[in-house]
Amino acid sequence: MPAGPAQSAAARRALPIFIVLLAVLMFLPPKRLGWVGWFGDLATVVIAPISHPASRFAHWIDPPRDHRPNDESVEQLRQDRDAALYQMQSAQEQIRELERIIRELQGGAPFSLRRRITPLYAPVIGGSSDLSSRNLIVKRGSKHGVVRHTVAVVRAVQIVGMVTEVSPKTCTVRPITDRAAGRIEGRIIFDDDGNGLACSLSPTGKGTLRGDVGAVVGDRAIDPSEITVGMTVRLDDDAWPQNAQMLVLGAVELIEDDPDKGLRKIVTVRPTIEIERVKEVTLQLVDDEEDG
Amino acid sequence: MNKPVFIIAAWIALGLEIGLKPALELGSRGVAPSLVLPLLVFVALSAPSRVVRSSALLLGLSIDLTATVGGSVTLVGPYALAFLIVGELVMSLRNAVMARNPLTVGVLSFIGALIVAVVVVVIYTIRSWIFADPAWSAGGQLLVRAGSALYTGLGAIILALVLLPLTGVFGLGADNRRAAIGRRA
Repeated sequence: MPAGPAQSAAARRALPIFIVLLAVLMFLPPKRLGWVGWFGDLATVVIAPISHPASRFAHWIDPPRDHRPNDESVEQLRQDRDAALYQMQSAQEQIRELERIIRELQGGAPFSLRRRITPLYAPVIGGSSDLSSRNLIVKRGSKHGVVRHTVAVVRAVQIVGMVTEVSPKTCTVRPITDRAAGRIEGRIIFDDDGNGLACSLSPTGKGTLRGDVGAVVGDRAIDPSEITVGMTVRLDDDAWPQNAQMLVLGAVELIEDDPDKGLRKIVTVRPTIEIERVKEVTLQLVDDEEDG
Repeated sequence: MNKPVFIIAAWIALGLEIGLKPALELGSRGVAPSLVLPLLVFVALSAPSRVVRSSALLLGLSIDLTATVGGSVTLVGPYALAFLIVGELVMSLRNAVMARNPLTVGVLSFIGALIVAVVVVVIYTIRSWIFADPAWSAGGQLLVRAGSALYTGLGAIILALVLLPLTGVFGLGADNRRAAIGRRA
């Protein structure tokens, strides 16, 4: 039915007001935009019945590329080994951290550090509609115990990213390869004791991380020239939760000389799987337990 | 226009755009097509101007609400404004084009996607200056979005083959178009 003249005039008047309102909203500071997130969560839930099956279909026809040598017969063993290595190195890191804290708290004041990690399987139901973001929308939220800074992994040890937003039923995971994720500290691992070289990596926007190789970590003397393609790089970053330390960031893909710093090396690290395209992640829920 | 049909079509287009993005993506830089923009172009080629504007706002806001900027901020406005501009552009051109030709939908979707890219990148860049977001790279984003615009245009030709036979279902017949153009004139 055609609109009446009065209705059309009202619509004409409303449009400039609406545009001005949009212009104001566009430049509000992030801390004033929290309420928009609620509508965003609602929109995500509304489109989930379409986006989730579409996402499953997309992963079925074009699964994420595996950047590790493919041999199905040893895949399970490799995953078990990686998980065990992570647990061992994570435990070593926790022991070092506990030792440091005990030294600091020599008075023996009670503290709670023992943590139990509950893995929570979570399907990926979509991503951001804007091209600049590689965020993953995951079908688990605060109702399931997910909180901000929960770590998301795939295949038990490969870090996908960190939860940045949580709604009751869904959460947003920002992949480590998203440019907005910023710098991340890693360690190029040389042996099973966790000895290696520190590296400071930044997302390139092309699914990889790149950055300078730094100092030796551990007891062993290591020269940067010993770095080889394929070496595992693990997380060693105090800005990340304790349970994420020593999880896998990826493998060294390229080693270059730093043109500005002579003998220094620059490494490019690629996650072991295309993490922006995984169809499911495991969220590491942390329960703090009283020590003793 | 048949509003329930349009809302269902918008819901499906947005869900597919987000869900199929990983499969449709070219390369690792995130070049992916829009399925929502061709829907707006299809509507804007035939519907009355008031309907086109409200459709553009609805589609733009739905993209805004499902997008994140700088990692975690949901922003209202950039896509809504960009879609409004595209809607106006298509309305201003529709007298001069063959609305029922898939190539028209494709070319206008390509131009529209370029406009959306420029508007969104300009707004996000100004925000990145104001709120200091070092991760934002306007040049890189424009390049990626230009590639996506081309991809959107090509995809829109295929999408038009689905949408154009449904013109009657959307309530966007030729009579409607003539009336809409007449009212504008």
